[in-house]
Amino acid sequence: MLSFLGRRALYMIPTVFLISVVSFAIIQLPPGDYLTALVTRLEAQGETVDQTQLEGLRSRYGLGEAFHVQYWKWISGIVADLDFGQSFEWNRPVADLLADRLPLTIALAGATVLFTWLMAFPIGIYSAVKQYSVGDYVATTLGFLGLAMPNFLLALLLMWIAFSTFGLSVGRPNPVTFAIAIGVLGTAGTAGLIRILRANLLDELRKPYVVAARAQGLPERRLLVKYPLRVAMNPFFSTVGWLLPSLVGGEVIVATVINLNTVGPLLLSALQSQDMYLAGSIILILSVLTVIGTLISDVALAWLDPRVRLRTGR
Amino acid sequence: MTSQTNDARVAAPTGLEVGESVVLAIDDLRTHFRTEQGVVRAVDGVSLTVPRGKTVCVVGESGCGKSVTARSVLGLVDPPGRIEAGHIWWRPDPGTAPLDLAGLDPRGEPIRNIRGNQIGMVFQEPMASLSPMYTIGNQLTQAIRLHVNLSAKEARERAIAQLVRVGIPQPERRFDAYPFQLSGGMCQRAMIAIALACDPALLIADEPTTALDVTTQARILDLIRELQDETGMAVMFITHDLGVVAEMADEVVVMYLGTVVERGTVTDIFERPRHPYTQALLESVPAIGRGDRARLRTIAGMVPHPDDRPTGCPFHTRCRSAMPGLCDVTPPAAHDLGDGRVAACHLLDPDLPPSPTPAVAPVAIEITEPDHAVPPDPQIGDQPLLSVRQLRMHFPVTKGMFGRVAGHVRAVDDVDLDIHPGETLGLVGESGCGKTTLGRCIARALDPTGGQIHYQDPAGGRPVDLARLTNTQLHPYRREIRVIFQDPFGSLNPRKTLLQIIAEPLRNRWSGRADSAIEDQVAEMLRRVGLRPEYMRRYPHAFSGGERQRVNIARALITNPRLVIADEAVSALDVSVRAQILNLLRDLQDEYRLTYLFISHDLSVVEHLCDRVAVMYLGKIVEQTDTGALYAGPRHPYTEALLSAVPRPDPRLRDTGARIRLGDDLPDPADPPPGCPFHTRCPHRRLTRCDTEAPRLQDVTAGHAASCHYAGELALAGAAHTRGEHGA
Repeated sequence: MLSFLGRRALYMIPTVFLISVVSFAIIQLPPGDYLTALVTRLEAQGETVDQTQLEGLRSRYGLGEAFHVQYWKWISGIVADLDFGQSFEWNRPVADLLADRLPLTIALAGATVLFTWLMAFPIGIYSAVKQYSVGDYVATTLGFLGLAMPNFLLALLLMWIAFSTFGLSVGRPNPVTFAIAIGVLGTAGTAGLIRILRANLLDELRKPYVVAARAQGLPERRLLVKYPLRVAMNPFFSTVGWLLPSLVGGEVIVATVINLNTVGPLLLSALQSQDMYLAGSIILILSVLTVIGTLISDVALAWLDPRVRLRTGR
Repeated sequence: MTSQTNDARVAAPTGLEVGESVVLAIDDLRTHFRTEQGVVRAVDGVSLTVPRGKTVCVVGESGCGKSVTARSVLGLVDPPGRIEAGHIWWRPDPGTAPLDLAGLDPRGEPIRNIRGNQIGMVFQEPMASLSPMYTIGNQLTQAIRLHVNLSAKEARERAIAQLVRVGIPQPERRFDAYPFQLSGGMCQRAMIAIALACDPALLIADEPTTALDVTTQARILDLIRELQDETGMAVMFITHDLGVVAEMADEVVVMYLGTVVERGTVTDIFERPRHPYTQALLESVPAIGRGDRARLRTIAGMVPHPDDRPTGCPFHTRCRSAMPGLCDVTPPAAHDLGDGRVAACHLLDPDLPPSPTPAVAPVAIEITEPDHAVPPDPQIGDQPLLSVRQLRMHFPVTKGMFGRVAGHVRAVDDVDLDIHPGETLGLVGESGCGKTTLGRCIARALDPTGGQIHYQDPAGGRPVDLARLTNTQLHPYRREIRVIFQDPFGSLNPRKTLLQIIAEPLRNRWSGRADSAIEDQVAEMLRRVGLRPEYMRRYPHAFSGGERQRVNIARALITNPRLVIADEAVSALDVSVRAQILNLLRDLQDEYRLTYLFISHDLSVVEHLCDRVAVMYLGKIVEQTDTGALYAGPRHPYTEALLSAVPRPDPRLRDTGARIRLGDDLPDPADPPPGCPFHTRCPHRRLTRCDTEAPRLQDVTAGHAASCHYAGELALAGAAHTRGEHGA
């Protein structure tokens, strides 16, 4: 088990390194840089920019240098003293900006995962055990709706309901908008997870060991919880890993609609204005969190399922 | 032994009384599945009794309702299946009144108290019947504590005692093992331990040894018999293997399409079968040790699906003695033949006018085609088609964080083998001995670690060493050497039509070939393997196991190969279907001048089909010779043990003489024992040489090679002898 953990932890290092290089490279792919974007914006407003001043800024930010020099500057700062660089657009250290936004994002993601589990778990079990019952059809239909409806539409709908029916203000961040965000973000995941749990559980319920356990005289409910459910739980844990990136992706629109101060909208604007250190750092941090999430889900799976734990040693 | 149940009441199939000597009496049971396509009558009027302390074997082909009958007893039929009518009288204690299990709610408390407590059940696939998520000990203590009020500690002690009882070595360690860490045989022992945890009055064993090796099967059968002697429980044993029936049964119930066609004592059934189906079943078994290589007699066609059950007698569509106008109209009544024998056939009806066919011995099965199983090709030259030299296939075992190579599993270890054109070479051994790996190396599905595979095209050309060719160079040989796989379900892509499946190797060869030419070729091939060409646009799911195996064969033969490697090609099939496929393989061999490498653990099939046999143990060939010589006088103790483990379809052989049972399972192939690899299990080992010096495979007599130090001295029993005289 320890060697399993150690190996997985070691694998993380090259993964994160590769991600950092790739994300930095992708940010630099569009022609131009932050300054050209700034000049375009200023010229659109009818102002002129002094070329010498521009050159000065360019050399100060190190924008003209070669890719590997820029990358090294950025990554060495992060590794050495957690200095993520300066955001051009906000004119503040990236670290400060992230400190403002990241906690809310992580809280939102965590709450969404919990919401997803709490909703999907009982519904999934119900619709598997009572396959083809009315309740199963209702759950399945709602699941399809949840999967099919775009997030922002649901967000608008919920906000409208909150505003018109309950007279709640949704313009500023408050518990209600937070709850709406959780509901909106969790719906698609819940629906997906219900489908997975139902299918998995149906597969497991037909396995010979279920009949064999029944033949021992085990009561149905204990049998269900002890045997097939534990196997069918696997997707719950494997989702932890990849939930984060998909949440941040989906969150951009929802957070914009609901006006939540999370990382998503920040990332979007940083990418638009080619604010490279900010964008690069956000992507890097999200990737690291994702990699850690994957590790956690691997460990949880190994804990849950002896086959994973005892067979990987080979 | 055949002390009849002396219970005359048993004979009446309906309205039977449950005497005190009877522990279970099934009376006109009907278990139906209501599906959208209609009602499937899986069990349709089954009556049978299980006498106290006796073993009743239920036999029949798959799809005959054996398992559903067994599951009905414990209320374990999955929805939409339901017991529609009939009674299941359960009388564990002669002093109490019988209880009707069919009337109990399958989810209720009363039936749960009987399951696992009064009736234990063992299933076919031991690995799949134990949950992979919990240890053996956990599942065993749970079974104990469900019915007996014990503390966790007491239950653990009892569980360990139970593991000792079923012969699991190192029970304390195995208590904490997960099922997937144990072999199939060990898992089945654990299953039996669970089923017998509460000392039930009846054990229902549903094909408990079908998925196991012949040696493991022999040990499990011994174990069940021993435990039965010890506890006096009754056993209801479901199997399709008549050899197992002959070894186990006191009484036999033959089922066909959800009905009982015949029942009686084991000697009566085997020596004087009265129903045409029983007779046909018995005749389609390749019996070991007879040395006869004639075509197997088969039952025409296959079991119809229960939802298009024929009218009248269910068997009349396949019955050779069917009487038109009677058998296809009126279902036969069950006739009491006295002495507890019952058979349902019109031929046995005393009121019927004597039929043109003599009723005493219905001419059930005749061999239509006169034997055209030719003797081994006279052309067999000295030049082998394939000659394998020092072939090695080692798989690395990695350990630790960085995947350090800690050792090698020597799946194939220095194997020499010659296959001559036109012959059939059998390769036998227990599972895990490396026979499949060897086959895959020859087909170059694996890259061997070392050694040579010389292939000589009989049409001429220089011999090539297949082991050294690259993938591209191998291309022309891929169509010369083809493989037929074991699992007829897993080896066909369910998303492709038969045409696509069978034509696949052709498309690889000539991509520019006209489609209609390929279609013609596939149609011709389908016809050759006994399928209709019209089927080529259908998908595999529409076919039964036997038909799919025909598709597999067609796919292997479409490139007109020289050598076909059949890897357990008939192991997954029913007796009668197996006979059909074996006959087909033989016909195709004559027709296309094929050479077979026939890999199997079933020694009776090997004897029937093969010219020569090589026996494999732990990656090495331990004995190799002509089939007749091997079965008559094996020279290696391992071969002797394998032969002795094969259940014979003859109940008279049951208690004759000693039997050789190999102890323990295979040693770890990554860490083979020093000296002779077999010495740890060998009943004839001598401490002087066997554990230090490895024997070499050498000729004992001309053409008979064995790798045993004492091959020349030991008098080993073959299959032709009755088990008896074997000395050391």
